[in-house]
Amino acid sequence: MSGMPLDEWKQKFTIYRMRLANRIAGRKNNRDTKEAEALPPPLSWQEWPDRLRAFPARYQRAFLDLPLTDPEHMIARESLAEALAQDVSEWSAGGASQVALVGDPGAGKSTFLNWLHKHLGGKAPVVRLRFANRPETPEVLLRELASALSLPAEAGLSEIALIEAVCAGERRVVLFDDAGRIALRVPNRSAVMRCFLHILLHTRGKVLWVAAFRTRMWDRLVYQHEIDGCFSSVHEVKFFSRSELAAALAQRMRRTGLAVAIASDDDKDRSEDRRDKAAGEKRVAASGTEQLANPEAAAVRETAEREAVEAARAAEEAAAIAESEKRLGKYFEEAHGYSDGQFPLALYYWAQRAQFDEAGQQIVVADEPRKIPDPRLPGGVQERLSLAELMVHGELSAREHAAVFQWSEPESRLLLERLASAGWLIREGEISDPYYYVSPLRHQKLGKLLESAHMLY
Amino acid sequence: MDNPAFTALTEALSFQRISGLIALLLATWLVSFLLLHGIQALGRRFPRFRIEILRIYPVLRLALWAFSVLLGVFVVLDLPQHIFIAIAGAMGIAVGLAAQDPAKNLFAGIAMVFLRPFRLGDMVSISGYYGEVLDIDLTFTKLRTFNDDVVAIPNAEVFKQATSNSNAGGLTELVAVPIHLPPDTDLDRAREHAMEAAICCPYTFLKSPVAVAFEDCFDQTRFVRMTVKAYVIDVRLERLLATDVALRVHRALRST
Repeated sequence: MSGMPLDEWKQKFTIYRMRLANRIAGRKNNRDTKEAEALPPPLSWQEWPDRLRAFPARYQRAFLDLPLTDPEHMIARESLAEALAQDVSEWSAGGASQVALVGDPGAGKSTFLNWLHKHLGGKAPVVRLRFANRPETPEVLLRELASALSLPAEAGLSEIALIEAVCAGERRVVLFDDAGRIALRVPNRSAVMRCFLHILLHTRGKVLWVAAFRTRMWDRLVYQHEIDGCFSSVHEVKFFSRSELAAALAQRMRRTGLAVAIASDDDKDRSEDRRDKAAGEKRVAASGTEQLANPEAAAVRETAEREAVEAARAAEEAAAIAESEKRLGKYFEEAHGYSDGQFPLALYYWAQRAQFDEAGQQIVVADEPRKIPDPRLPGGVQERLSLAELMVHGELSAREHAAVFQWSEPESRLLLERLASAGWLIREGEISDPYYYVSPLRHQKLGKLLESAHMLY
Repeated sequence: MDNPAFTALTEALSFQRISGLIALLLATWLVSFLLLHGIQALGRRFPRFRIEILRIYPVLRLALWAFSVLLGVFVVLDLPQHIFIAIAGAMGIAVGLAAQDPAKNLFAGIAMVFLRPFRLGDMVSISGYYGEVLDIDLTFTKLRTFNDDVVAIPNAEVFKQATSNSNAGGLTELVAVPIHLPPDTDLDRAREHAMEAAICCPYTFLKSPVAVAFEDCFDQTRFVRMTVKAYVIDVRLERLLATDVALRVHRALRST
């Protein structure tokens, strides 16, 4: 300190402060003008499918998410696929395997069920199962199961007889998607889950159940029913890591065969083009003068020059591809920050910053990523608890919400509509009986906020 | 009047130094006020760690005031040591004789900062009052009851009596909901309803167990007291949980 007088420190501080202020102001202006000029306003999650349908087919292939067929979903998941294959082979050898796939929505549980379906490839009878509605009583559950497994269940059978009927089927694999839909936090529904666990234990060794659960619902079922004791293996399906997501996006772009350019390079490219054009004009003018003087020598020189130019161009192109992949990698990795490793969300954000040329040959990526800002977490306890229950259950109709909170249906609908208009929820279904779920764009963020508020655990 | 002690004292009590001392005390109060609001804002920002964040305030405030008083006496007033000892001794006798109760409260307050029988944000029962600890002052402890009353209890009282702390620094607490049933009630069914009600109540913290206890009672007539015990996700929602569970149980019992 003694080496530098106070005035000098003050001067330095003032300089740094001014530099920082200028930089912030410059960046903000730059961003504002770029966004205003180049990109349309960001789309909501609901608008996104319509926008995608308006694209040419090549672009749709670039951004459409088909979790059941897209190979990108299986990137870096070989170990989990191997573990599942191992479970299946144990069951085939007469073992008593029951498998649970646990993961957040969008992590890829359905993809694994599909992969397993393909992997089995007719080696054993396979049934895919997903309940459209939550079964309200054990009897409804048993009848739904019997119907899905094509087992006879006559009307008027008792619960025990129905359980026997469901357990009596042949050896098969049941791929049960979103199995947590059986549960609902209302009185008398525990019996439905207990009935399902009963079936699981009774069919052990005969039916291989591969059931997918949302993580939060799984946790709750573990506290309430110790459901983990009913499964021989529990596999966690995680979101993509930063590098895995970058690899998946790069693969997707390669697979579509579209060229990807970065918007800020356009100006640079244009100035380079102008420079090249000017140099070309100069060369043409010079060769024209030479051609008049010595036509043969000029022809030889022209061929040699052309070959050299072609070789240089090929080398340049190879370098450009390598450079482009390297530079795009940064953008792919950036998508992770916005999507938290969810591939569908990464595609959504990626498309938000993409522009398409009229010729349908390339995608131009804007420098600045755009994201619809998150709304504030509502302050009311009821709103927060409602969001927490929706995070656990996945989706709730106004009627189910009213049953969970013991409110009247209009009260529930009003609260859910309020949350939907704030941007936290999405409403779907018929107007008379809509259902609500947390917007996938907000899912991760909301989970963190509710955990921080100790409303979700 | 050329007594050196008297000269030093008049110098120390000059207008300039007294103004400096007042300015220092005002600045300390302002810092303490800002500190409280900053810590409360931090608690609101991270509700999960609310109680852990709030507990540091009494210690910081005591340290701030102690530092400020020492700074005022030895730097601003610049009292010579022998005069300080003489004044402190005289004040000690005066405080001992005239202000026993406030002094008791003060020392109890200082002791509470270090012994910490409870923290800010805890739900405690003291002198028949039950509520959330709002503030632990150097003289009073303030509680906010569920009727939204703020009760100030002298620290000496707090120290003298037994206090019960429901959450002991945690965010969850066990809530007991007593429900009185006629003696001929089907207790198995009542237990089932009570368990379902507690598990389905959205305020219940499901990571902790739910229990139901029965007790035979007599008050003019025989009845059964059923107590539903469940943990609430946040101590502030305690009454909401109790009301919700009681309503659910009564509704279920009526429907059967």
